[in-house]
Amino acid sequence: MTVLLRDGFWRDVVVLLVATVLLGSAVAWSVGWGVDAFFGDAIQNLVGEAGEYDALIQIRDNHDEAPLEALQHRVAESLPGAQLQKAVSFAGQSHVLLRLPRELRDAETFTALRDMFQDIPGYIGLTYMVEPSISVTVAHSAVARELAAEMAKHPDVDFVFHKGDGLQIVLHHADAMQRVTQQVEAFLAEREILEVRMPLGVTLPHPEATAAELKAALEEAWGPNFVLATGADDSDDDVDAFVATLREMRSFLLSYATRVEVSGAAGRVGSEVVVMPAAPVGHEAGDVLTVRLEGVSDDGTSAWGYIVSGTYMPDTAGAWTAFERLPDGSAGAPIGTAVFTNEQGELEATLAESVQLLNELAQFADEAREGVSQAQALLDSFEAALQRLAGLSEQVNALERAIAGAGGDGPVNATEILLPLLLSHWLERNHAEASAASPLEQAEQQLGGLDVSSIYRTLQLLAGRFDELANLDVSAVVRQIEQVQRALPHLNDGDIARSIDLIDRNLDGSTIAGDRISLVTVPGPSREEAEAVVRTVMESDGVRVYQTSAGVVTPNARAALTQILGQMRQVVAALVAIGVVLLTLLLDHSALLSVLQTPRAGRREAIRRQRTARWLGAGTGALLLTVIGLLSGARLPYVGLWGLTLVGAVMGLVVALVARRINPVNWDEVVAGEALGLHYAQVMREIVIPAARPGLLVWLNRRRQRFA
Amino acid sequence: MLEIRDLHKSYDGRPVLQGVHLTVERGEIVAIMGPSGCGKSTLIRCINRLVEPDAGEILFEGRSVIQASAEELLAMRRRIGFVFQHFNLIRRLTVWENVAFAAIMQGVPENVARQRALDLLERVGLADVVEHRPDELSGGQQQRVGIARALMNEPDLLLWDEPTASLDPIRTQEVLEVMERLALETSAAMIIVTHEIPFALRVADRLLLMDGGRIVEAGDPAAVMASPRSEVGRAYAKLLSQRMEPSRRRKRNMAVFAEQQQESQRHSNAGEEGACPWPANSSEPSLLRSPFAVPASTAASR
Repeated sequence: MTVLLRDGFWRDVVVLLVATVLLGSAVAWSVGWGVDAFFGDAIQNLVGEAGEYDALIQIRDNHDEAPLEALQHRVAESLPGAQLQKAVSFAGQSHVLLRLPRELRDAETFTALRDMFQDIPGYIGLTYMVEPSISVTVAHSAVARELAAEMAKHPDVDFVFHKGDGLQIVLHHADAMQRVTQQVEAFLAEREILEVRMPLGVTLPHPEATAAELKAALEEAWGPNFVLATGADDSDDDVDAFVATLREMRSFLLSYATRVEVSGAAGRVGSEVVVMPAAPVGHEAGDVLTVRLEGVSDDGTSAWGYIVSGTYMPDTAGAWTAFERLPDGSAGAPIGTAVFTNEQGELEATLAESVQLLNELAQFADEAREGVSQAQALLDSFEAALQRLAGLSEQVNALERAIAGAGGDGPVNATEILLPLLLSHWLERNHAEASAASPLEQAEQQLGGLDVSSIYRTLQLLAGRFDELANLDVSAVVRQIEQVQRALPHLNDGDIARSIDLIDRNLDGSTIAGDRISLVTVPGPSREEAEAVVRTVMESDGVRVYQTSAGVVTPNARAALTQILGQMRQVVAALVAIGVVLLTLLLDHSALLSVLQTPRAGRREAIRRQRTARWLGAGTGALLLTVIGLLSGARLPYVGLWGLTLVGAVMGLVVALVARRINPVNWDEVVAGEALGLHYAQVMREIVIPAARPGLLVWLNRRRQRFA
Repeated sequence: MLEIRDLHKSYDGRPVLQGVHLTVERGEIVAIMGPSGCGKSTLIRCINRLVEPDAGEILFEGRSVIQASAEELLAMRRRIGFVFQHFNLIRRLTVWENVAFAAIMQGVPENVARQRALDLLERVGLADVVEHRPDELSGGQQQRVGIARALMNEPDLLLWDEPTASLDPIRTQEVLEVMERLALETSAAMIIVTHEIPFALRVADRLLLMDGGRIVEAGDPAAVMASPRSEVGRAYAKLLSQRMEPSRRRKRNMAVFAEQQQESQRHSNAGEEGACPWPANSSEPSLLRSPFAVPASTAASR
């Protein structure tokens, strides 16, 4: 090092490295700081100064002041002295900052805030911003209670309140943040949650007793006080809803599957039988079906199921026989007959017929209306005929009277005498044959007994009904039915069987857990070890055990934003640092790397020099970027400082590879300098560097360059 | 002043020098000739360790060049001038800066170095281009700058690595003239790698013929050419004899040329500035001289 600093040129190289580091660090830090300041202001505008507000309330932004007014009213009513400040609005949400007066800053008020605004129209939610505070997400209520009690006694803690998924620990001073956080983390690290999940459908009749049993077994395995707390939880509402939906879906699918009724002792539910045509004539080999039994009659003499493989053709003729299914899938001994019912097909057929019927209904209505019209016309004719019949009857009576009085009052001609005689004779004969009343009178009496007006009204009513029928939008009804037809699931039996299998697997607990028991334990045994003990106690291999941490300290809103901002600053600084290092590698160090690689003689020598240059380039890049990262706080996400080191090394390597193209060295001039007895440093200073691309090294070199 | 013992050098396993022995006395002019790739350039580059030899010993003024420390090597290099085939001038410097460059870098006051550089440039006929950049000069002029640069430190040994190989005949002649005069005026020993047989015969005290990395023949140039023992020597001798026996056409051309020269000389003497490309003290083109005719002045000085 002393030698390097003694020599002018190499001192310049050391100066270059130091200057690059300082410049890069300064630029990276400055840009990062600028980003920090800019976005810090933005955050301050968004959520206020640290500790200025206690909560952020989100309401819907419908260009309507009603929610805000309701909020203001509620705050004035329930939180006297509290202040509201409208913050930014975006994505259809308005944000309102809430500041509580000192006297209301206590656990009760903050706990009550959660439910205080629930009934305000447009209310979305609330985020606590109380500071200084530590937000802790806790996985078990017992842990939350214990931690709350512990923290409430802490001298640095002002108060603790429960929130949705954990605790908010409010401190007296921000200085205690790190200290209390460490203590909370230590508290959580001493606990672990062991969650025992039952298979779905398994309900624990006495969960407390089971939990106690598990506690005893676990403490027997890992010593007393291994289980710090126990608790049993039912499966949550979401899971219940999901399971119910799956069950409904299964039922729905099953209703569309081809139902196979099997007579005879078919077996138990879930077993499978083979069904094939009784008479093989006319059937294909592929007619063999596998049926899974879904239900068995109480006496076990019949069962029903659905097809899990094979395709049933509804038009297949002949009877089918059910056989036992052997392990290799072939048919064993016959069980009985099988009858198929395809609800889906029947429904489709019914719908098709309905459509056809509806299409015919319009025509029928038209024809019926025409029939009513004809009936009305007939009734009109009948009424006219009836009136004429009454007139005729009058005339006959008059004739009878005339005949009865003939030869008395006046002269009559032969016709007047003859015609009444003939008629009288005809009437008498008929009268003697039939009844005492005259035939006309009888006809009149019979026809006159008909309630024509009633019939007429009935016909009119009928005509009105047919009119209404004709006015129905039958085509719309047809369209809807066709829509239903199209909406019917086009699933074959194989699809349905596979879907049912999938649902069954889920319902069996493969992916959905049933009841669960949560135990707070001391960390120690592995999940597998704990699961083995639990399964022994529960006598079930379907029981699953999960280990989770007891809780975690989570950053609050401001801390999260600050953390993101910090990361952004680090990344921006890292990008700037990479830019600076890349620039200096390209402009300055490439000249050094180029002259190092310039071949003198011999391929081996050239390769050795190239390797040296690559190592030197990678080392220089890594060194520069690492030191700049250390000084400026620049970091890349996920990879940290070592990532920067790696990036620097890669950049240096790449620059070394292309150095001779970026900064070609005139080797003749270098050799001339050597032949003239110049030091290597003099050759670099007077020959190599002045011919290089302008950069920091050229600038530094120029100050000492003899021939500038 | 220079002694080379059993010098070996190879590139990637391919031997280039295979046990070269050579001694050069103070003021001696040694010409080295040989076919391309025989190791001539490598040999003289090993002398100041521009190329590191693999084995052997090089003693300069009784001190080992190979064992020399970095500072000792630099000191030796300053006493050994080197003229390159491709001139190797520094393009960003002017002509005089190129010449004075090493001296100034070694601490010689600039005015002193500049004056000496200007003197040297005048001696090589470049007084009027001292402020030019190398790119503005012809090849011959650039080589003369290179010669002046090599002379700047008043070296004890001058190494010439085919100084005319990159030049056309006219520029070659310019440089050879300078070299011949230099041979007369300087007391430095010279090792000249060249393909110019007549030049070597005229100027060199000793001629070395190399082939396959070895010195295959050495001795008085005229004697070597008169009775060569090696195959390379015989080849050079044959080449020389072909040049010595001009054809009829060549004789006629030479007669015409001589007549024109005499006419031109008459005009010149009458006060007209001719376009003669050679220095004024050169009475006739050296190409016309007999290669065995050592100039009287040269002979007298030896």
